[in-house]
Amino acid sequence: MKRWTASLLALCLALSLAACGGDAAPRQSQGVDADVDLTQLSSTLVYAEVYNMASNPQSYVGKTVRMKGNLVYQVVNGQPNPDYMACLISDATACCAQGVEFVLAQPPAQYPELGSTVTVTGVFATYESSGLTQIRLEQAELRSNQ
Amino acid sequence: MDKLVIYLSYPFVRYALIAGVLIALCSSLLGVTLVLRRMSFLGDGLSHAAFGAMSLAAVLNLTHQMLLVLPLTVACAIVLLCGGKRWNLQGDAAIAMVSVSSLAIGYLLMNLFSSSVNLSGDVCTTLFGSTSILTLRPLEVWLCVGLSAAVLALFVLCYHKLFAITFDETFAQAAGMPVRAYRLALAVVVGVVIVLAMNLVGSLLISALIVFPALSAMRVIRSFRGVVVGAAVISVVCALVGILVSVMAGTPVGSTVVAANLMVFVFMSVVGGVKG
Repeated sequence: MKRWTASLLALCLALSLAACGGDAAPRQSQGVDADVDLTQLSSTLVYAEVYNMASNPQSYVGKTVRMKGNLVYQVVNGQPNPDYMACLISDATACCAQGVEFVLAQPPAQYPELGSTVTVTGVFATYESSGLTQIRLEQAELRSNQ
Repeated sequence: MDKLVIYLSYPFVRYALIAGVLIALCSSLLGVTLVLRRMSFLGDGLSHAAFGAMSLAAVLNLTHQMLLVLPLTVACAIVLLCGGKRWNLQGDAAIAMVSVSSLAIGYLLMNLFSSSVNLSGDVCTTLFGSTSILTLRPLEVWLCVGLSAAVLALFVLCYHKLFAITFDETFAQAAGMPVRAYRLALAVVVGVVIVLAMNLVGSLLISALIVFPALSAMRVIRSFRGVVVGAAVISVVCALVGILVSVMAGTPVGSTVVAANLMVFVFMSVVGGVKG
């Protein structure tokens, strides 16, 4: 019994050392033109990765990120306000959602419908607002999935 | 297979697998003792107490919620396991009282003093553990490793004494064993394991992690040692499979792990029935 348990404990401790290795996925496992391609992940992992980005943003600054989610933006005088746009990503049960703000490199000719599914690719950056560190994608490209 | 390799390159997936395996291992060892002492629902009651403590920590805006959640949960475990006779409140009645009170007060506190923009989402994640195991930070993983090592060390060093107390506490006390001390140690271990297990399966599903591996092993194995080892193996395998399936298929982690445990229980029941 003691040998069994000691062996199990040693195995678990060895596995825990295997977890070391930095806080971001390696470049070669991602798409050619995105360092972090969330469109290739399952919904469970997407939410976890976005949560990771929000809680540990330093590891992602400067990386090109691609994500797919629902488009949300502020409407001013019946028109989308390009200064307040975000991609909303939900978890597997759709009870939790994390929004990632983005700033477009160039405004599109026509904005996709509010709430529609879109793919956003941009450079991950942080900025300070009201004393809190916020995350967003800059120089972003927006593509409708519908 | 390529996708699995890509997913395993993410550190938070590796953290989830490490923490998940350790939590499953500790829960299974604890589960054998609790099932045999007919206290299977203790895990459920304590997880609800932990939810209440978590709500209080969120309302107080504590950065490290574990500082409040762990001591409060351990205190509830001590009250339930050691204080029942003193306060004329024992067994399932005490568990039910602590369970529903903590759940109700916790949810009430979060509604009245909420600092979150997505209250339903936060509550849902805590209750069902849909992604919480995938959002662990390195410090939390190391804390999990340390606490799991302590729990495992206790079981290794005190295996025979826990065996005696589990099957016949009265005889163990008559034989001169410090039963109260071991009961206290067990209460502390239960509290610690419950707080860790909430990250894997959430508050509502913790009982499955504690009960199913022990019951599955008991379907086919007759010796206490065999049940302990069997429960540990079943729990670890189900946790690994559950986490990997949920990551690949995009399903909630907690529910997938419990579903894996349920399937193994059904399989072992069939094997046990055939074996006779």
